[in-house]
Amino acid sequence: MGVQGSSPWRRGVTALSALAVLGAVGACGGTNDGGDGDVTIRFTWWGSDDRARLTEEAVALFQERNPGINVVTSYSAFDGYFEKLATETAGGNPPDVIQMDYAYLREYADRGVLADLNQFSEDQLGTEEITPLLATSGEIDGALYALPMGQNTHTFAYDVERWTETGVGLPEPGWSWEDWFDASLELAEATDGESVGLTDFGWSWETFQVWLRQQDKDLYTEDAELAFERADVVEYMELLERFRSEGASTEGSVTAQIDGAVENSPVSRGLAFADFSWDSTVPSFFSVLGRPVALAPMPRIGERVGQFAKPAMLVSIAERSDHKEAAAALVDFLLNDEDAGKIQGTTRGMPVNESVREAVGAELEGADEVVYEYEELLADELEETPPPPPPGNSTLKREWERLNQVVAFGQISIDEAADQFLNRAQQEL
Amino acid sequence: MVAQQVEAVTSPPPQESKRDQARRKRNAKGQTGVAYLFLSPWMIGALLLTVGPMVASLYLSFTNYNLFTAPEWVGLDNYVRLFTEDDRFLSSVSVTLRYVLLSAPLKLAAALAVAMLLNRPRKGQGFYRSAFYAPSLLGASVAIALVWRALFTDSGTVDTLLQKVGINTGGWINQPQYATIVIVILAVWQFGAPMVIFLAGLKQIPQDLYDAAAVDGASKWKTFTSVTLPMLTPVVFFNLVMEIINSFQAFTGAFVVSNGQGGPADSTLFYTLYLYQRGFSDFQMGYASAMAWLLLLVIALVTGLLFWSSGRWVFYSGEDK
Repeated sequence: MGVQGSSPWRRGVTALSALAVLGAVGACGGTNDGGDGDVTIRFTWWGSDDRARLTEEAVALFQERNPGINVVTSYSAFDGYFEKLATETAGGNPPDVIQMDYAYLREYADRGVLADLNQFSEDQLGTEEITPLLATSGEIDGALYALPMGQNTHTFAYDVERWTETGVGLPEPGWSWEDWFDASLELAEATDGESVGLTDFGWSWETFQVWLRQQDKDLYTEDAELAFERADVVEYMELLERFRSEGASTEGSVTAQIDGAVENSPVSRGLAFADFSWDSTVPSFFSVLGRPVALAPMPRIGERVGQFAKPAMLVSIAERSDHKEAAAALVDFLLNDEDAGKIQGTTRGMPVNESVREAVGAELEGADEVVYEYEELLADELEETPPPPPPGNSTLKREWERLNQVVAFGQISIDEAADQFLNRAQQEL
Repeated sequence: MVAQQVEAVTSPPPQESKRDQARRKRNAKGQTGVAYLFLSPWMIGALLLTVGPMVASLYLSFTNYNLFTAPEWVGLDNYVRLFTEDDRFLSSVSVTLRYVLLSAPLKLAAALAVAMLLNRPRKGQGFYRSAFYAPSLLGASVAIALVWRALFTDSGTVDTLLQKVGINTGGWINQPQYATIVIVILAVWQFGAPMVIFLAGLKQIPQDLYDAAAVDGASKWKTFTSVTLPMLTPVVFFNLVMEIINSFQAFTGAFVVSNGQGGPADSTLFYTLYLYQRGFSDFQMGYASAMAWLLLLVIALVTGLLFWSSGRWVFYSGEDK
């Protein structure tokens, strides 16, 4: 009986220690808040390892100058980034500082996730020196939900050394879609079909936008309706189909492996010479290829190039952040500090702060210099950023990508694809 | 403990005093409390992490919910839209059905074949069993799916080897006609769990049946079809139910191999993957919840059908048939 008498006590101890263990396990999930009086903010972005390295370096400098602020960073590839962000946001735990994409801005802003940056003074978060082309790109109905982190624009990036070896004439700024088509075929011929001229750019919703703008149309009207018609979709898809079927652009099985990582792009794999891209990704091309790429403007229909200065990516602060001022300090530092600018170079596109851009521009070399010169070349032609796309845009963008892939594999006709697309647009807008 | 209680109620020991009885009861009660305490991590987990969210998702399936603003009641709208407006939904259903029909039987066949091999006593038996079970431990992981992706990509290992023997496929995961096969192979490769169950089942078959078959001069194949298989049907049935349920819910392989997209050209857009896309990429949680409940119903229905059919082909020893 003595043993039994002691067992409740023992059971209690067992249960308590079990609870203690559980508690300790739970505690491990928390974030490390550092010392007393410190605040910890989270900063998340997407991008290559390259960008991660430079960003970490800039953040380290920020922490050195602001010993009271701890910055916890996390990054991922673009694929999956917004799924993760959506989950964190829905869970009520969004990162304090969020690298934001233009295509998603309105979806997050409209849903009250993002803080209005107008609440900060110029001292806290400087906006005065931001290039006028982009200064209002994060503005929706008078509230400033994001600031651009870099300026970029569309480009066809090409493997200039391999191209030169073939003896085919290098692209010139005024080239039309036809000129690209012809050159592409010549390139394919020069390499016995090993690599074609162009990566099939059907996956790119933005290329379609440029093509529309060249004809004085666009993706969306101001009332968030489609600003193009079914006939435009058909005509554009037929253009793509002609490139594919005649061997001027990559076939479906190659294009299907594009996942947003420069490492897996057909140009990096030696299967194509040129790739539709953003000039801000060019530094990654340099590091993946180990040799330079050169940049050409988008092919044209007539005179108008249709390209615009785009916020390569934006930065927002979460409305739910407990440390908005610390978050603003980090944003201010990343955008407006000259040293931060020099560290980051053009990894997020051209610096948006004009004096930073000037200071950085003088010292650029390699990939950064190529980007800088390309932007200078187009400076006069670049148009103002169109307003942030309506919610539903990200779904349509994915649908566009998917339908083009299905068409590329010949599983449905262009007509069916156009119908399906307009159908989806009707549901989403 | 339950047995104890039952015993206490039905046949109280004759010499037990009232006090003893009371103590026994109290003790039993105390023990019940402790049992619940020990169960509590699981129970709390089940309630908070499974039952709660399930009820919530049932509610959400009748709403429009974009994750950020409050859900808005729309009745059966989501369910109606699934069948009337969504081509991709139907295509994901057909991709999933094809996957289930391919992967479940193939996996069971592989599991049974290996189990038969390993059933014979041999040196290093333990090692072989562990070795064949290993893929199941690894297979569900993201890392293996990534390896799979690298193996079956354009100019990947498989493609290169096939080229050596003159077969030029140009990669598997990047072409719609092969991509599902890659995921089926990945699933079949994880035959460990059903294999272990088959092994246990094989051990249960009485040796005298085999002896009798041998005396009758039955061939190996005849022995297999007339002795092994019928005796094994309960285990086959169990494995079949489990595998079919599992393969309806397959996600990881398709997600990783297709980079979350379900491509190329939607050929690996499994039901769960599309559900995930609708929920987490398009922020249509209500719609995704409706898909989840529909999947639950279908799985319940299929399982029910299997149980109903089992009367016709599952043989339990001791039964008169």
